[in-house]
Amino acid sequence: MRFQQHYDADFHGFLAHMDAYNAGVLHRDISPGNIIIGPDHVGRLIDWDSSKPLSLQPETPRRATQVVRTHILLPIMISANVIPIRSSGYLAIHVCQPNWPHG
Amino acid sequence: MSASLTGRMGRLHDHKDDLESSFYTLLWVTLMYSDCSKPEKVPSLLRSIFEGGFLAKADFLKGRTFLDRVSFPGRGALHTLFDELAQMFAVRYEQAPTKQDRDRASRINSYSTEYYETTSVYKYDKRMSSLNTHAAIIDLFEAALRDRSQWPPNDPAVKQRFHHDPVLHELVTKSGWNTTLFVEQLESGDDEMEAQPNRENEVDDCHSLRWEL
Repeated sequence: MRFQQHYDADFHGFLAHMDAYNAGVLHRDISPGNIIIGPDHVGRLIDWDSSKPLSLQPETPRRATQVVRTHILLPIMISANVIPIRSSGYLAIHVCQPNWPHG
Repeated sequence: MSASLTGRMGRLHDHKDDLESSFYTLLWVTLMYSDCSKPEKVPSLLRSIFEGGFLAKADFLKGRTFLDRVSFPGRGALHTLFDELAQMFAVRYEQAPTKQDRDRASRINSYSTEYYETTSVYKYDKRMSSLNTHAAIIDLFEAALRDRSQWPPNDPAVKQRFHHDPVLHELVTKSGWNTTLFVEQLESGDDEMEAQPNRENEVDDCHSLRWEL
């Protein structure tokens, strides 16, 4: 793998963050382990478990009980072309691809 | 995680924290997969930035000592990118202008806009506002990619292996916080002092200093 592909993947992750942010979702867990490189060499920002709609930004500091689950964010993220993977991956893929075999 | 969040876990997590985290992500990937001019400096930097706290990250951004001394051979654009990103995020940890500074700058602005743009207040506000959106960082990302001469032709990503020597005998400073000084008085020392009061180094002869960790 070329180094520039790592660089591009980080850049794609950053762009995904921007798309989500512009659609009203803050990822809140940017880290090397949360950007994966697909077979098409495109970087994908994953693990949206800590993400939160900007409209629900709490007045009080972050607490575990205030984390909004991904299914609440899903419609927003799909409209922003941001596909969540990992814990809510099945749900996201099902919605995006109606012909998914387990759908 | 941004330095700001590391230092004050109670504060709200905003998009600037995510932007700063993107910088650390790119830095981590680069240190892990690209040669650098001083690989022996990398483990301590990784420990300090990714395992250290607020001060380590804030000082890294503001001081940029590592970035001044270390380069990425064949990838000059990366060095420029990191330096500019560090400068961009450092403003979050710099002293904000005081009300007095702002009043003075405001008076200057009413007199000359051109001169106002040279004031520290204007520069601070401009740098802070560059973090309000993703645009300024995207510009820097794209600028680093634009000049292909700044990237090596084959450009392999090579997983770096950092040598870490186990510390067998940790050196400590005498004034270290984890050092305790014991002064033991020798039993026979007092008699000799009285008999020979003008001896040189009498204290050293009469007391033994012992450092314990």
